[in-house]
Amino acid sequence: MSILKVDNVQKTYSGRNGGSRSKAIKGISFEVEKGEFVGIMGPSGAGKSTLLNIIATIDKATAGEVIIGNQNLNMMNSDELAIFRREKLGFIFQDYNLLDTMTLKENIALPLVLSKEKPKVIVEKVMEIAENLGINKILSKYPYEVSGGQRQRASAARAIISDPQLILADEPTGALDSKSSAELLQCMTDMNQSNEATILMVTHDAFSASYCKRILFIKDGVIFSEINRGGSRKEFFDQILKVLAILGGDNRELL
Amino acid sequence: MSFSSMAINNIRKKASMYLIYYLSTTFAVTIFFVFGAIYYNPSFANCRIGFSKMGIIFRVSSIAVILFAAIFVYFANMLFLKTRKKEFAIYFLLGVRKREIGQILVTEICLVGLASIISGIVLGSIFARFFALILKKLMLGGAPGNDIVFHLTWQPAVVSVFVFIILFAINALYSVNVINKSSLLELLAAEKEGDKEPKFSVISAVVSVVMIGVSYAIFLSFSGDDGAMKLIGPALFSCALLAVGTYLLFQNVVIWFVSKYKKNISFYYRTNNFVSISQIVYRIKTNANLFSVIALFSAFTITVMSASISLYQSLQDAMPIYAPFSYLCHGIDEDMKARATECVTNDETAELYAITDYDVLTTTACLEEYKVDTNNAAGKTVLEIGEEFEADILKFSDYNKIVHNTKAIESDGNKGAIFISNLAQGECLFLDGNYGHDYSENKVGKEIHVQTDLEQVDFKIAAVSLYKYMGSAYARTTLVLSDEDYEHYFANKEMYNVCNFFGIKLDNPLEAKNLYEELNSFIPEANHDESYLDYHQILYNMYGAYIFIGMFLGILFLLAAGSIIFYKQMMEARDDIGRYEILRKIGMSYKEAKRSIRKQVGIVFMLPFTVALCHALVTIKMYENMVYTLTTDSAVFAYAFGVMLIYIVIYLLFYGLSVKGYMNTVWRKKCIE
Repeated sequence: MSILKVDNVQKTYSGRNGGSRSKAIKGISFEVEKGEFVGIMGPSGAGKSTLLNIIATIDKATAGEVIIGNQNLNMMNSDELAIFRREKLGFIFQDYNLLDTMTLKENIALPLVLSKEKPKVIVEKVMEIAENLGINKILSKYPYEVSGGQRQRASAARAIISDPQLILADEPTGALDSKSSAELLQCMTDMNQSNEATILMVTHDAFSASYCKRILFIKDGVIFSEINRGGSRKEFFDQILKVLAILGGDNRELL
Repeated sequence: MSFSSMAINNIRKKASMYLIYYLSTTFAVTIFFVFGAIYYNPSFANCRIGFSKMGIIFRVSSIAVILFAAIFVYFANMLFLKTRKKEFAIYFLLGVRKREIGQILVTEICLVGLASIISGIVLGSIFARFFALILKKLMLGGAPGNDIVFHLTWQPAVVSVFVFIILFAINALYSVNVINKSSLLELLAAEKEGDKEPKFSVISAVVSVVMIGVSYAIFLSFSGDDGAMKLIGPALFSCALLAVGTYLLFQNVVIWFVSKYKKNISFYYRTNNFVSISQIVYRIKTNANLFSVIALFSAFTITVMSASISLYQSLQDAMPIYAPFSYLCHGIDEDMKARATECVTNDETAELYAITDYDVLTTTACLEEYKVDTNNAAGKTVLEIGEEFEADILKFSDYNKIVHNTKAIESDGNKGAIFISNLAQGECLFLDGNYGHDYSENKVGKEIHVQTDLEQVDFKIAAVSLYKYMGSAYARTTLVLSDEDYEHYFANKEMYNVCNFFGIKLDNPLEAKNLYEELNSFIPEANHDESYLDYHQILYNMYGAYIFIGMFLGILFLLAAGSIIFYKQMMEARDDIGRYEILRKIGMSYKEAKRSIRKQVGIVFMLPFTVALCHALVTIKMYENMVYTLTTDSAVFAYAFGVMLIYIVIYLLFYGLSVKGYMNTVWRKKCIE
């Protein structure tokens, strides 16, 4: 069953006074099945973040359709989108996007509180997820009191607490050191495997991407190529590097 | 492109940002100009210099108005600086030197300042007329009087320009200094909160409540019978207690409550509470000083405003105390009396109620534990307790005549006045010349020793009254004796100083200006008292100006308090932009954000407001207990509720503005749609 269907999505940015128009996305189509862990890679300016924002309902496509579950994003108004976001989508951002005025526990609980879940249920669920992600001991701390890795795990916990249909991750390891990155990615893999969570991750880091099962490469607003993980992660990693070399993107320094 | 043209460009492009700065400074200039126009208006010149007390009040209030203007400009400027922070950071990052950023900033402030000074003066000259009209009305108090002419003079404009140029210059320098001192990092970074949950101490929380409770108890224990000297110590003490208590209350109790509340999961984990409550803790802690200052000053303002209105409203009732007769003369011969009577009857406007002709005889008397302690037009008299004092003697039939002819019983003005309808021989009615009951308490039934023709005679005091039958200015302790006793004991009139009084009471004492002038023309000044109209004018001129300044400053203060909270909220909204962006991404809808912000801003407004109302209720009650107006009952609380209503309306207005501004700041359209 396909969770996400992106159908010929285009995005055009027009200049301030209707002047110079630039096409960020020139028509992208793909589908994501339930339980997949898909990566999107590409050089800077390829349109990956724009694409993610459109899927995340934070931005609107100029043309084309995005269907999540069986709901067409074009058909919803902003309030419906807000409710859709908190119920059907989970987010993990590069800069964590945790509220500094709330403890980790409160941050994780936020989507459920917004959905008017029963307080008792919320607390139980937070505890359960925090334990799975290994942050149950620091729940009463504030974001500024814990490490980047812990913050990002809290962010991941917040993303999955509402059992979303789709988890969107935007460079989740961007601000983490390699050890924390590996831990987080392992977390996400576990989420993907044990909870059958569907994850769509944008990254430009080949190491992070190697945790995915399938990768879409985007260049200049179109899908350039797509690879599937067959064997081990190491093999997949090498495969990614090869594509990147052809792509001539910003990962050249890795070669 | 030069830096000044850059500044002009900035103003043109981001008009809305400057508009709020411009509008608020314009408002400050307008208010200042209005006050200046009244201060320098030639018709009110006697208020400024003539009457010494009023002069001081006017001068003190002008300082308050300047202070208000300064605070207003300062906060407007702070918000302005804050909105520009990011922009300056980018200039700075691009290598524009601080000096040059300073130049841009100074140019902008000067331009906005200049514009607001000009428009403020224009608006001010329009509104000044209106305010002067109110002042005139208050100062006349319903009496027909020549309209006080209102001229606009050049002084207020010059002073406004001068004051505001200085204020803007200070703010420009201050802003440049802030820019110079701040590092790039500070300019770029958003305000960080949440390093630690704000702390509170349960002990301080309890102490603060106790302190406020004790100060309330002290305030409420005050009564009008205590002298000022006796009260000043406890008053200062309880004011200090109240101030410190209020501060600790905001610092501890409120935060304690909130953290208790946060522990109650079934309340806290609700959409409507969650976000607003988690933000508010930090706001309360950082704003505790501001909140307590606003709460205390608001309470003070509400009390002063209510008190001054009730004082003003009771003036009409107080008039009979100052002038029971419309026109009172003494020691004039029969010819003059006849002429005066003729004048009154012939006058077309004056409606005569009664003419009273009576004698007052002066002797000495002695009463245990009694003394005269008065300070009035007759001079200051302070005697020792039990000392022999000069007592006026009035016979009962004259007393009855006066009571009837001055409508003394019907008027509400006489506080502590008791009237009697019969008096036995050997008894007397004791009319105390003092203001309070301090010395005449428990004197009923006591014997008073009075010097008569032959010997000292003891009269039994049948009743004690504070009734001032001749007006408070000439109040002396008087004994009313039965006619038989009067004729019997004081037969030898040559022995005493006997004064004849001739009092005219009109039904329309305010309209008889011509009559008073005519009477004054032939009755020597030494032989007549000021007319009812004169007293009315003296009283209303003074209290009218009083109440005007009181209300002006009071409303000004309320506006200042409201706008300070507003500005604070706008600045905090800027810190919240990032937070609401996160919330929006997570899926908070517009409606939910609005509800949450309403709650958050609401709490910020509610806290100082409720505390202020609590304090005000206590201090107004204290005023009511303490106030010694001569009149019977002044309905302080009725006026207090009126004032509170004004206060609530002003606060609600600022609340609405703040919610709107907050929403516009944190929920800009750019992100979605």
